[in-house]
Amino acid sequence: MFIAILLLVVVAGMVGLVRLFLSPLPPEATELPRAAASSFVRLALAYAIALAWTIPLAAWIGRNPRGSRYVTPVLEVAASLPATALLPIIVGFALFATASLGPAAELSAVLIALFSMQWYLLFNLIAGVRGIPDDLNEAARSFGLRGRAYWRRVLLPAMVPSLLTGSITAWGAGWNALIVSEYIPFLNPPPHVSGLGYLLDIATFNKPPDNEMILLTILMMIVIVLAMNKLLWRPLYNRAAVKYRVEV
Amino acid sequence: MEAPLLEVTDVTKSYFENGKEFKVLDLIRFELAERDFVCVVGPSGCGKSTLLRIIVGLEPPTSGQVLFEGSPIRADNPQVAMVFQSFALFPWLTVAQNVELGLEAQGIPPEDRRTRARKFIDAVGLTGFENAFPRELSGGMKQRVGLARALAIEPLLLCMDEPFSSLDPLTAQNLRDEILQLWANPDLPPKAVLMVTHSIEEAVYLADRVIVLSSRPGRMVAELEIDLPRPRNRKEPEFYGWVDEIYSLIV
Repeated sequence: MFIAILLLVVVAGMVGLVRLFLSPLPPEATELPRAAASSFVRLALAYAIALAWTIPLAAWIGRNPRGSRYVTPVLEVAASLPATALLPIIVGFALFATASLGPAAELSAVLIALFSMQWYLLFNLIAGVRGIPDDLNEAARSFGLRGRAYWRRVLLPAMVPSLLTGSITAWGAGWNALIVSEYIPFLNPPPHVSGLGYLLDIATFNKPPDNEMILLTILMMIVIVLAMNKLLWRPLYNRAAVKYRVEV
Repeated sequence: MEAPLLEVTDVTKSYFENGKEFKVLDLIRFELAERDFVCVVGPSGCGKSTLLRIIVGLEPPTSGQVLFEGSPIRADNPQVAMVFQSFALFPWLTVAQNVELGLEAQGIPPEDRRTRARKFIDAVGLTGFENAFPRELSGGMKQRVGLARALAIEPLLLCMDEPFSSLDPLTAQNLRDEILQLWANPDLPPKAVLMVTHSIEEAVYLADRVIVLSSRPGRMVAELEIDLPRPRNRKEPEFYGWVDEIYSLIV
């Protein structure tokens, strides 16, 4: 039964795709590359901000189980709030901070992406730091390794595998967040930024919905995500699995 | 009489769980002078590894104190080096980078680091493996890296925690002989060796002095001078005499 439904869906999808590419592309399709690029830059920015604060915090939490006893539960509660639920607060903050609609839309788009991405990095990195075997930490201590040398020789390399796992998940969440982050329908007029999420949103909110553009946008996203996974994360992960794996 | 290099004075260690005290070590007291090769033996669970960790400053004693050259020991003391049972090599660093670790921590410039690391990599017989990663080495070779890393900081005191326990018997015996060869060379560090082992034979084979601990809590049962000439022969009756004596002290 399940397989039958699955087959039906796949076949219908294929037929749809073939029809899509047999007919001339809609004029809006020319916006796709630019939209993809600006969505990507926005996610990259959010990712960079997330890295900048999660790496030091994860290092501190992972190395000070006692000191971080009260911090971790707070972070866990914060992480359990979906970024979509924070949307009004984030938009409100962005409006307050920039005082004009255009920049506010940009800022809130990056912030929503950040709030979707950062927790995956943080909790993966904490696990990575906690996973450093005791004997390695003791060796580092007994040879007097600290400060920059400790970060360079012990902490950062030990974080690499969990950084990659966290990054893959974080980027997945980031692409997901685009749908809500680039178009704010509850304000009038709805502010927006250019991006795949925005294209998808207006295609969906059109009456009737613009099925061709919905399909094309999603396809574009799939291609980018697959390319990143295949060409970036997979090779990095395979290398890291050999070089940075600690034997316990 | 020379001033002792290391003074362990009435070291006691207890762990507390749900308000209950578990005593692991009880009033351990001994000294180490230059040119001492001392082994601590005891049944498993007698706290001998804990004792070594306290001596190198990785763990504080519950009471008592450890003095190194007259002052309280600190974990990062560059005159004391540690060899770990698990090797504790960093998998992402090459042999040379692992060996240079202590020198890097001391802020020694890269050129000098390389030369000094090179010298000890050669001394432990790993010439040509400088750029290999630990995962590419056998257990015995890994422990040679651990040894070279400890020797590279040219410590006065070398501490070894069951360094041969995770090696096969043949490799372990080769490494023991090599340790003795290095030890016999007065130009090479260290000035004293303190080693923890559960193997009585190993202790009698290597040490000038054997400290025997009882099990739980670890108490000092005896401190014996092994006056056999080196190289020692395990088949000689004198050798077996010592092994039997220590064995009877533990059981």
